[in-house]
Amino acid sequence: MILYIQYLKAYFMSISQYKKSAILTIIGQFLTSLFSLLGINFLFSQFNSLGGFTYEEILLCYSNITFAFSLAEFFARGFDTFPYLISDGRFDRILLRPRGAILQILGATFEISRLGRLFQAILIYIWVLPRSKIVWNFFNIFVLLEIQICGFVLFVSLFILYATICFFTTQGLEIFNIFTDGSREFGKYPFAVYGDKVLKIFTYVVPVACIQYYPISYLTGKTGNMLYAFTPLFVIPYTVLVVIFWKIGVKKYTSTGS
Amino acid sequence: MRTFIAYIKISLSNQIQYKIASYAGVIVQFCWAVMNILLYRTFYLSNNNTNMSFQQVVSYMWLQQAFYSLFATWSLDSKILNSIVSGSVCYELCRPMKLYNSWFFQNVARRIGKALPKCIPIILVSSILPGEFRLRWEIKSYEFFAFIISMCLSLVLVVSFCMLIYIIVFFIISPLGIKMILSALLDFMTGAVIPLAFFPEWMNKILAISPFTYMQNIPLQIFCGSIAGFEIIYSLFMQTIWVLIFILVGNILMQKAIKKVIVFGG
Repeated sequence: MILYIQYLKAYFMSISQYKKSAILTIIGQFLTSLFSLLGINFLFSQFNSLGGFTYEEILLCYSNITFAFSLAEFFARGFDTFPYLISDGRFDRILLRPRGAILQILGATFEISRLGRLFQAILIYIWVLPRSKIVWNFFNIFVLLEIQICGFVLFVSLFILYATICFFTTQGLEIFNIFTDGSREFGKYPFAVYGDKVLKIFTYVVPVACIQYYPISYLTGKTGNMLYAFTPLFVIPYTVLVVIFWKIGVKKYTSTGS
Repeated sequence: MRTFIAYIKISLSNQIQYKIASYAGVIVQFCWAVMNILLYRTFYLSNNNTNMSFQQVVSYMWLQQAFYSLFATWSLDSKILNSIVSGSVCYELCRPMKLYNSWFFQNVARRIGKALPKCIPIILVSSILPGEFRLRWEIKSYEFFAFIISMCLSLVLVVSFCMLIYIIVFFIISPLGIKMILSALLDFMTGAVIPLAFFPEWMNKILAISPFTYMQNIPLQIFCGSIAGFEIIYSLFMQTIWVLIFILVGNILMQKAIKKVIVFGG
């Protein structure tokens, strides 16, 4: 943990050397998500509702996903660039050191520009939480926190899964973007609106729906089923599986030799 | 012309080298279109009374994904950017071809080379899909002709706009920040986030005099049949005007930039 904080400090030191560029990238990310928010807004001025969800409910879903995903990207950026670590042999050096590989990769880099999105998510929360017609009692606040934390964990483990696949292919797989970038892009809306099959894929293969469609249907009173309030916890066994898979990958790993 | 065809060949053979990545790109684009269509289908359940019919949206999404690499405004050539930042651009200046023209054709060729292997399978498959997911070819022959012309104009427009960005990089050196901000802005204004037909009226009025509407929106809308008749002619005219403006401004700025270039030794 101390080591991790040291990594974080070092990163901020390096960023502070290029302040202007960092601020520009943060603004860029902020604008990107601002425009996708405007897109939702424009669509809702044409259509009244989306599969039974109102504008406010969609925004709640959108801010949850944006919050969790950008936080995960900020911390787990190292796994996103993992194919390069393997192809130029830097991963061998990491394995030689007497610390865990996951910790070192997490600490290797962060992605400050994602703070722009994070900031946006917080702004939307401020706007949408009082307007969402949800009674913010103790249990509902718990569900919201559960969504955010489990969402963060889920996206980090998706990045790890992506990196693990690189052990077997040595190249990054663009196809996997369907699940990472795709769950950010299309996770703006509850996955039920894409139909049954898509919902099943995003429940059982990549359980993103567990942190949006199910708990949000509970929060907004679309279902009284208490089970839906606890679906985000499904992320935990999923993460354990991913970490086991990662360990197998590390064991099987043979250097590319460069 | 011969150089241009050579550039296209280079770009195509580059794509063939990375065959698997190319297939992956097709699949990603395909899934993106399907997800968008599913999303809009649910939207249309609540209201059918919009500027575009659902069928038109379906065609729009297929074509947008099929020609994604052709019109992606932010897709700048990193080789060119690097050559400006690192200073190796001075080698280019030694070549017996105007830098503007050489970069311009390189970019057009790169986009065509990237788009060709993707758009053919996507259009083929989407044209034979069952039911409401099918890409409809309900276009009249003169409209199709206008669609092709508009596609070419859009491509040239996007590239001549990118040329301006390259030239600006001459003056500011670090391209990352401006690239991020511009790409966010452009994606939205050109209709890559949501079709421009869903924008509010007042915004479309402003966009209609800007170059952004003419970058990918026009050819796609011509194909779906959501603009027709005199509007098509007017749009083609506006596209041409913007192309001419961008190329003119680009050439003037380029001359200034080259005069100013001081390459650090080493």
